[in-house]
Amino acid sequence: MALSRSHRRRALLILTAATTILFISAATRAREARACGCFAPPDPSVPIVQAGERILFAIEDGTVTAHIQVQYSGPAEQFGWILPLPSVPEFALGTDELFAQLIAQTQPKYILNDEFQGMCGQQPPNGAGAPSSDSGESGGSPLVLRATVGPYEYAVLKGDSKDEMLAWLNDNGFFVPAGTADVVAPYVYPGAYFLALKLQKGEDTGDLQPVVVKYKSALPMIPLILTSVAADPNMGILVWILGEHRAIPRNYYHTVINDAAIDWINFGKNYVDVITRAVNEAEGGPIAANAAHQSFVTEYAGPSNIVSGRLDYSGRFGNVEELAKITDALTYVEYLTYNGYAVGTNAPPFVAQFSSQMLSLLERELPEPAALAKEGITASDYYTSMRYWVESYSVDHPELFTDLDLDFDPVALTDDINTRIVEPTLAAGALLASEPYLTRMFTTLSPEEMLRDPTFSFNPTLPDVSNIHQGRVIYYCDSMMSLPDGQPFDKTKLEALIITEQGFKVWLPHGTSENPWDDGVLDDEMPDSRQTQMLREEGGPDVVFDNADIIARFEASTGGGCQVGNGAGGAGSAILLAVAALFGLARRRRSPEA
Amino acid sequence: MRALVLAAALAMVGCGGGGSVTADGGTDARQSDDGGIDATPTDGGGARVVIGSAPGDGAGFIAVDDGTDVELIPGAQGGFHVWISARTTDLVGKYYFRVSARRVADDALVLAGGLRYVDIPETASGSSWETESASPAFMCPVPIGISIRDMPIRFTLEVFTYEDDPDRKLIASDTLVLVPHCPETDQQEFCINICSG
Repeated sequence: MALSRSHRRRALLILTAATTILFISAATRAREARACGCFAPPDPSVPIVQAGERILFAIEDGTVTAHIQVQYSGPAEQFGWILPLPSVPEFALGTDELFAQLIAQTQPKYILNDEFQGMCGQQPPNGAGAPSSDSGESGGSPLVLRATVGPYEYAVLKGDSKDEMLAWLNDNGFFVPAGTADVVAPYVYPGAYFLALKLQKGEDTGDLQPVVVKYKSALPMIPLILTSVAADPNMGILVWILGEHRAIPRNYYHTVINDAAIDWINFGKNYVDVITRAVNEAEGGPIAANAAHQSFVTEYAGPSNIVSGRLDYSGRFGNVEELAKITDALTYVEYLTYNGYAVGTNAPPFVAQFSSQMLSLLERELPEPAALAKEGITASDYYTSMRYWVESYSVDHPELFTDLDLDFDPVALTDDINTRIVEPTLAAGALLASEPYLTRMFTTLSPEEMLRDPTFSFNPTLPDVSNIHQGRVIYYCDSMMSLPDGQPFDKTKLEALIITEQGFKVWLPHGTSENPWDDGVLDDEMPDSRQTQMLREEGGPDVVFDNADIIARFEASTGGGCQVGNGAGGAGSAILLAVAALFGLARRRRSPEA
Repeated sequence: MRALVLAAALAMVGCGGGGSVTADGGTDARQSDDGGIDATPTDGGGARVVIGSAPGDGAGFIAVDDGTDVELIPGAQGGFHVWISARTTDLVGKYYFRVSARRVADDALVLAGGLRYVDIPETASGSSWETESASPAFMCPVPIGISIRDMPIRFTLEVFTYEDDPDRKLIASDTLVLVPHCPETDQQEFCINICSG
């Protein structure tokens, strides 16, 4: 399955691309890369989504601004990135915090709200007070310009000659992966440009941070054909688009998933698998024969204020000039901690943490004592409580602090922090506030499916899409009339009925402790997509495939037709078991796709 | 060769587009090749706009007739577009321009187009003014399932007052039918792939 690819067999790169991208890296696994930079929130109600590419687009007056999160595993010297562009771009640093906020605020959540029917031991009747689940150069050279910013060295090259461009990259130490020459041709024409990126000498992959590319173009596009050179199977592609209206995948299908395939009991932990199977159900057909398996799911569509104000709130970062004057290391780091340079999390222990970029800068100027690190004290632990370690802990463990060095250049460090953290964060915050509407779309694609570059446009008439999905679980308390002495009330043992947001009913005669999604009865047999659509720049969806009737038949098979209000009880269980027995013999119609 | 684009277009300078509309409600609309009248009534003033195309580098304005063959121009990260230019009369100041495109055969929307700010200089007062550089009307990748290559596509250029909704008003509009073709170059195969739906 597609998800956990934190360790890639080939230390290949993958970059996150944005409007397109090609990444590269080679084949050896050197030091572990720490390039995600995320402060990912471990919220149990949030399915984990690992995306190979994360991109935020904003479009205004013919100009596309793309924030691209760079995710890379491999040796620093083999980090390379090429992006085809229609015009000479502006290039700047971005911030991982932008993506952390976008993910946290727009991540799909699947929540079951408890209801109780009948007398439930110590539980109040019929849901009253029942706890809900948490929601919770020049002269013939193709070179146009070459410069450095933050950890990167970049070059903008003319893209009218593939051979000249690739030769220049090779001659100038920009890593070009095998296979690039074969897929770059569609992007080579008179007037085209390429942006090439590499890490400066002395930087490591821990210094990688998102990049911002701004260029003239009518519509945003992800150059996936180029990305396919270095892509993993079922690579996740997560896109946010800021604009005046809801964004649509212009040349890809659009899939509405069947929410009965989601593991509601475990907060949608199978979410990405469902997405992968659902988009694979989008067949090309006679309408778009070469579009098979090319489809996006809209995960959020609504006001952009769901994220605006979270990066550039008033007072954040204090006063940079004041910071540059602090010569005491402990006071300096505390200033960072208390002025928004460290970011809070919504999970225990709720301690603000520095991003990987901040940690990298601090480690360079104020390195953590080596022996302390060997004791397991992470850089994050050290810097967020630096005064404690240096002034208290060191008293009892002086042997761990023999190489402690608190001398540093506050002006130089502050300048780096300002360039790499403050300015990119404030710019990203301003961008989020610049457009009223935000759309989040997700898909997974394998390299062989990356045959067309997804392009996005807008439709002002399509409705909002919430990322919060709420179902109901009704517990039939009469199925457990009394509790044995000393046995605590356990609602998971009660006969129950789950009703998904789309209205699919799932009987659970033995309670929610027996998860029907675990054995694949539900998610392996039913279609994972409810509808495959084509979205236009006007009007409602054109439905290509509608699986509603098929899904309804599955509901009937699993006893969903029983009347909830009649108390279910043993009768409901008996019906279910009988049908389930038949059902088990009758299916195997469809095997799960890889 | 059928996709001759600008060369043909240059030979037709002065032919005008599919029909422009005057802002006083009058029209010099002419019959378009799809049988319809390319005209949209507008109100107020004598403002007029004529939609045209441009040579391969996108510079200038070329008036062309309905049904003219044009070559799809590569751009936009592997995409293809058609150059759309404008000639205005009796328009001075700030406006929004919007270019949209529909397939003539079935009126399928190919491009909704966004608003583009245009500032027409005072020197255009009492005379005509042409866009110095054309705007790329994004064609390919096409909307899924909607092929556009070798098919008549109706382009509409609308001129709006420089105001936010709902106060924005249509000042003038014009339509032009062009037939886009993929270039007979190394990119032809790729073009056919992404322009065929």
